[in-house]
Amino acid sequence: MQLGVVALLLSVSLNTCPCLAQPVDENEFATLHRQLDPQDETWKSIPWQTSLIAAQNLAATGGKPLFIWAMDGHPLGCT
Amino acid sequence: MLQEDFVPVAFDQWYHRRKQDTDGEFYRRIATQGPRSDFGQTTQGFYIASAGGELIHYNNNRGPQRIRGLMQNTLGLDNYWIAKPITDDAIDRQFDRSIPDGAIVVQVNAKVLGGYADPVNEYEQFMQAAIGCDNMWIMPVEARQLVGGSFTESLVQRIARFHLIDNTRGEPPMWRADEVTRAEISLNDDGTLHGRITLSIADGSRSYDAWLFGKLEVTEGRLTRFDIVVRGEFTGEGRWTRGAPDDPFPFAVAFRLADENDIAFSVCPQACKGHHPEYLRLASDE
Repeated sequence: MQLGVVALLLSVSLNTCPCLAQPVDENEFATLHRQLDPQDETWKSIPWQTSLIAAQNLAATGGKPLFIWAMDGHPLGCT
Repeated sequence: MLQEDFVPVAFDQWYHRRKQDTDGEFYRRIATQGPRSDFGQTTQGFYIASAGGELIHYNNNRGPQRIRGLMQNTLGLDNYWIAKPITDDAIDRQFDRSIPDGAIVVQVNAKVLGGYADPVNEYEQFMQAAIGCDNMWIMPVEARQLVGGSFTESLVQRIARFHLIDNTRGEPPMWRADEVTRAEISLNDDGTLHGRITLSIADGSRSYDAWLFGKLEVTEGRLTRFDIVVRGEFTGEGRWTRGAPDDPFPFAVAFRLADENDIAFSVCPQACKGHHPEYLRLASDE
């Protein structure tokens, strides 16, 4: 609960906060480290293959089509 | 539907357009049937294809309704799905970005913490809330030094140049060595890390002025915790990361040991695309 409040305050006020010029302390570290974890995002629950040939093998043996998400930058990475 | 009726696969097509191996050839065989068949240009998008290499649908619109429609149309087809598995017997080493032997994979996430104007549509809202994802590699010699209580300079430089990047809206520019104006990380005996990092391109139009705090733990001679937060003021954007907030804006990056069961564990660091030898450089190489 306390971390949630801190996260909310951080998200709305950091862009104008003079604390940006201050070192990161233990509380802010804990809050931001938790906030910046995408573990619960929906795309993480899909069993993406990262090798096209491995995916082709699965598709061939399973009789399924391939769904290819090909981007500039890895889709499971920066974009 | 995606999980049950398709085999989903995701990759950076920059490599597949270039790779002279089985993987690259199979991709180009599919992509050349679509509207983006010039492999000197991007071919990004969503492709639905048979295991035999026939393109069924292509789209570069990320709207979920559009994608769902293509998938539903595909499921009405039944004459494409018999094919033999391809043997992957050739690997183009020039574009091989497998995890180096013995390297530790660290999950890296970035976020703009505020400063955006109100979003004008759903896509912009999504982009503004996005958490950038990447992996960092710690080389075995660097891991040994961490276990021994030393944060090696090559790792400091790798973090500064290749991981303090705003990758929340697309592919970001990295920092050149001469754009690192300050990069100090100290490791205390209790495992806490403190640091100060400032980065700036020559004209100052893109910069990051940040503080670092972290905690490392070693158990039975192995690195078991590598938690770091870097937070500070960011200015500017890159050619492919347009739409940043007005300067300066608060920006943070978090690091943690990656879970080897995570779907993105084997994804190479973004910086390996254009800076592969530099990315792997160790202090002993200098």
